[in-house]
Amino acid sequence: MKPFFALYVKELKAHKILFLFVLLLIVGLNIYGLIQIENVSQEHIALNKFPMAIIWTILSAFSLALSLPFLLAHAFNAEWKSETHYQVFALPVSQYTVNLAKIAVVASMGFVGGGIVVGTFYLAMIQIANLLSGPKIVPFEGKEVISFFDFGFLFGLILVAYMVFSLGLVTGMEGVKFAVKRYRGLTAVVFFLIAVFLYIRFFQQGKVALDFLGHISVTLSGQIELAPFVYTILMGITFMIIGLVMYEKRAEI
Amino acid sequence: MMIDVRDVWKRYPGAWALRGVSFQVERGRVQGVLGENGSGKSTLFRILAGLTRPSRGSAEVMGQEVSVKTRQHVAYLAEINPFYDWMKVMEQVEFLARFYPGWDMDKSRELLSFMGLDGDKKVGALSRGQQGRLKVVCAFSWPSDLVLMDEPLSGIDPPSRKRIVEALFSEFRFGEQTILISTHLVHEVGEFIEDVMFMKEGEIALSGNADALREERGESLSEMFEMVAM
Repeated sequence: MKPFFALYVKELKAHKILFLFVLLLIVGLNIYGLIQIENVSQEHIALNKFPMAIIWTILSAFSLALSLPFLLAHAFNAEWKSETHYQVFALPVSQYTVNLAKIAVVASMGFVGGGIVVGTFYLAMIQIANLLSGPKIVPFEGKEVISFFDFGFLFGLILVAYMVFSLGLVTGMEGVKFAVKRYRGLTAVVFFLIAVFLYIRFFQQGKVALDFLGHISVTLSGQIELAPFVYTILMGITFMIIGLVMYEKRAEI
Repeated sequence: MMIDVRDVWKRYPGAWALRGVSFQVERGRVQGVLGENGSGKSTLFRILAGLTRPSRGSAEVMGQEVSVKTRQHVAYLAEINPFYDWMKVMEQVEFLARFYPGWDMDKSRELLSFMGLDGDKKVGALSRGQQGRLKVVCAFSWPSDLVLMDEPLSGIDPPSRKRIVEALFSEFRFGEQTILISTHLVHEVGEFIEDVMFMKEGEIALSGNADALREERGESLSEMFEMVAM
């Protein structure tokens, strides 16, 4: 655990500027969104329009989602660009440990960013709810206040599924990229296309196969089918394993 | 046997870097690996350090095929400076110390002081020569069984080189560490080399006990180096 922790802290420090930038962007967008919601009028909501001010929080969620795969790709490539991979390859730890530390750091950032988005979105909803005297809020089926935990769970499920899939995809791309000596960029692109094709191609079959997992009840949107999330997570894990194994077994200087 | 390399071949895109290299190194010996650029020295070191794999043949360290396990016994000084620019010198040393149980921080401090390096300075602010010194600090701060030094003196200013090499072999070497050293600066390390191996175009052109070769051929190691290179 000691080497993993050392590598985790190293990764965190190595990319702290980028991480801070992304987090500040998310915090900034969310604060701006909250301020905007203060200006939402009752008439606007009465017209049954979803308040546009909430778009800033949604935008921050997309910013976070888009930045995570790029941050992981950067963590892989920065090592080779700065030639510190000589040091990392000579360490008495497997490349599984090294790369899992990179993934863990980016995932941690995802969870911190995700927490900020969930918290802000919930606060925004509360504010909107408080603006209303009647039950005609956004379609929450008569509930004045959404359940924070339900919302957090739903968002958490989406976030975890997305993170595992996207980080798995990037790990797979980087793994096969450094496993070959020529045409590295092309290899990564081909892996990406094949992986996305396979994900889409087997989505229905995967959903059917995992149907036994059933549904969960969430106040926000009723019944949520678990199969698509689990299928996405499993595909992400598969891509991640491919990348980690390729890197461990084939990458060399 | 500390090192046992048998018929190792290594191919990089478009060229063979090593062509059937075989040699053994006994524990506690100082082996020089001499040769021009492109002769395969660095590839050989990288294979022994576990950074790359042979295309054919086998490379063993302490009786085990090179792997994560053997890396626990090997201190490797790469031909480049592989340090994190954003770390402070002491931070870099402490980072590496976490991976090697026998790391001696007192010795690290002693070595840093000997090398004239400031622990609070950022690695990125060090000159190439100072980073070369830092490599030496990191390699000799823990009691590895094998030290692989690939061009350890490159970038270090000539007046300091002799002093550093002498101190490494007389003062800072842990007991009977086996040392494999590659260099162009044969005259500066020649007196410490016990066994020598001259490489040319991925093959061993000449090898043997350094004193025996000197006596047998009536030439210094520098002269043999030049002869092999021709």
